Amino acid sequence: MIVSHLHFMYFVTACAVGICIGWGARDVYLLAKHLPRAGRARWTDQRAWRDQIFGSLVGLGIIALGLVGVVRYWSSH
Amino acid sequence: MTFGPYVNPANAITASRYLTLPPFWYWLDSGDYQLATLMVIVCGVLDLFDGAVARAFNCSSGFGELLDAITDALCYGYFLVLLAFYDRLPAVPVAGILGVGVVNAGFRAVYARRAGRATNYRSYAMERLVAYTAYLIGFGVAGFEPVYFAWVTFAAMALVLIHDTKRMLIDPVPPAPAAEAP
Repeated sequence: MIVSHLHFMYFVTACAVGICIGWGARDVYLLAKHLPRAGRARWTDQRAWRDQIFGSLVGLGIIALGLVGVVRYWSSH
Repeated sequence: MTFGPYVNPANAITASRYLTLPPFWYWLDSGDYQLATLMVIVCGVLDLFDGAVARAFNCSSGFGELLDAITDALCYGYFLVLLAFYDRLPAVPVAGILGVGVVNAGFRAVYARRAGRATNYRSYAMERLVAYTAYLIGFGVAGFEPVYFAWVTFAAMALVLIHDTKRMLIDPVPPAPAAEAP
């Protein structure tokens, strides 16, 4: 053991929350950049544009589910 | 900086990720989950570094990209199988995640065949979920809601695979960019 179990779980929680904040900010930024009409017009391949939007929405979805996982863990420990 | 034909620092970093696999198994078997988690983190950090090193030393290559993709699949597959074997992750969603990975790789090969050139279908959603799988491995070792995260990851991967399948197998393949055109 490097640290106590409690401190290890604090570290894992900080990683999970940090990932959610970092990825969430990135996906919100990408949606704000590409979703408006002007952002969409910059894409020559509209299927690639839809894939980008779908990817950001999936990213936000799994981030929300990740935060649910954090709440689930700490509400039961 | 230039390197000889047999020296490529980016590929060396990619290959060094395999060194994390034996100690991961050892520490997982001995119940030292913090050190096993450390190996997962080291493997992930090395994955971040190899691309940066390739760009910094201008030594990107097709072989390097292939080696990186194969190393990702082998390392993550190895971690997932061992975690399921040692009951740190539930076996059913882990089998599902691995199955999605295999089917996805097969569909990408079909896409490249349809395109008639060495190309990879770029899926932003699947890229995020592969990164999510890396965190699932960490959560599995740490015992951080492993059942919940395993099922969430599997469900999201299956959803994205359904979306990407239409793109890879049915939709027309876009022409090669001018720089890549033969």
